[in-house]
Amino acid sequence: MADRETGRDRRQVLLGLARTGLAAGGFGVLYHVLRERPRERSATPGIFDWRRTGGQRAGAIARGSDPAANVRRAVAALGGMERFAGRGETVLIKPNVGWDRVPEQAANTDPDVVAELVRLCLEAGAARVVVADFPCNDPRRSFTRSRIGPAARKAGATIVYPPSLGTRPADLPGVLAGLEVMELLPRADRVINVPVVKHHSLAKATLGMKNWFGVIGGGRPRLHQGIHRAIAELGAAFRPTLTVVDATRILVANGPQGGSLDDVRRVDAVAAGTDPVALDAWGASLLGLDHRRLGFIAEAEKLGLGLGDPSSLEELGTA
Amino acid sequence: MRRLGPVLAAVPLIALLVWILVRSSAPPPGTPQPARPASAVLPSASAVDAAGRSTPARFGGDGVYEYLDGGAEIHLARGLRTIVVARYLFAGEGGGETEIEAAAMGFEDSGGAAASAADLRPANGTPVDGLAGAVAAPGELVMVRGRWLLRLLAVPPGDGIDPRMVRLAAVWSAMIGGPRGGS
Repeated sequence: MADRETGRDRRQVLLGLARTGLAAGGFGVLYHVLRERPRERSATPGIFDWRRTGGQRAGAIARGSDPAANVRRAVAALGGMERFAGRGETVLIKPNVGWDRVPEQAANTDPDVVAELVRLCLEAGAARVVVADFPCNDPRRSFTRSRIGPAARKAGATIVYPPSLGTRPADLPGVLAGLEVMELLPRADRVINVPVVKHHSLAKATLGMKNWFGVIGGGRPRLHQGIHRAIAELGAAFRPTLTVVDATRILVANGPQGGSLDDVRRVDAVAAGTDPVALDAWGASLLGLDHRRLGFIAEAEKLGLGLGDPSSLEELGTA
Repeated sequence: MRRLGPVLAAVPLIALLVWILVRSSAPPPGTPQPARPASAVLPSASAVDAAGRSTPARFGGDGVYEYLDGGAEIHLARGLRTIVVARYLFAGEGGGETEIEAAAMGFEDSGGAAASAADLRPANGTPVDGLAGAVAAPGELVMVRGRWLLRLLAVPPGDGIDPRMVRLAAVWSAMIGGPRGGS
């Protein structure tokens, strides 16, 4: 009897050990699967999220005739670039370099704004800063004529544009489905979106969320159908670490291409922040638009991307 | 009379056949006119005394987005069919260079060209003497000729109306054809 019980006990011990082994093995397999999944997801990611948590302010606006000083003040008010670009990280800066235009024509981001952001990232310890865009016009000419290429290179950035810059598949949702994106995106640790404030004949304004058109490879024309929804969905798919809106010069008519100096207004302001919707609302107000009546801002609010309220940005005044 | 009877009876039938043939050979309304070669839309460098000209690039259909991005939509709605773009290089007086970008936009009809020209004309522009349909400002000139619209942008823009832009527009106007703007 005792022997039988001892045998049963032994069997139970062995069974227990087998179960524990199976559970441990299963856990190991599960751990491997879970560890591998993010890598798979980053190969064809649906959403690109480079945000960093923390910070109290939605953003800050700095004014003055020196664009670089405006960048420094606005970023400092948010806690400094160290909050957005970590030591050893690769930072991608995405300005608007869409057009073969000089800075005075306000079709592209101001080169001094881009260059100052490069310097701040490097000072904050970033290992590498890359400035990239898919221009509408000839890429080499656009980067040269806008003076963004030479200025950013001098500040220490690597400049990349087609044909050296390719695209890769991305599992983007909604109206963006099937579109390819800039191949650099999954490799960037942090991303800074740097739009310029411009009129847009179709969307009324092109600002931060619209600036993501420039990371899409082909198929951009299709996004112009239902453009407000498309802009908001771009804002949902690409979540930058920081947005810096350049309003040194703004284009008030015939955008986004511009060309006429008569359509350019000097505003001498830069806004930086983490609420892309509030920043777009601020940019729209500079164009004399009521942000509450702008389709893409309303759509972005519905998607929970931010608050279309420019008053949430701290006004730092003129230096 | 007995001989003429069958002939007369065939007249309506022949007329019907002729009408069908004519209708089938004519392009239906709205059919795009054959495109001019890009080189026939913008003048050569020598015709405007420029030091050089880039090879004209043509953008048509969805391709106009490549040149205008979202700005294409409003012009497409007005019947924009094609854009031909080239850059002219002129030697400056002080040794510098002026580059003039010329964009000729071909519309379905003159109404579309006129409507888009109204948008693109420089806000502080003034009519150009001796060049009907042209409005210019420093560094910029917009002109309509029939169903064609020409936009010139100079870099650097300079202080006044650049006579080289006026000459380029005049040569283009003569080249592009009559008041209907040719084909």
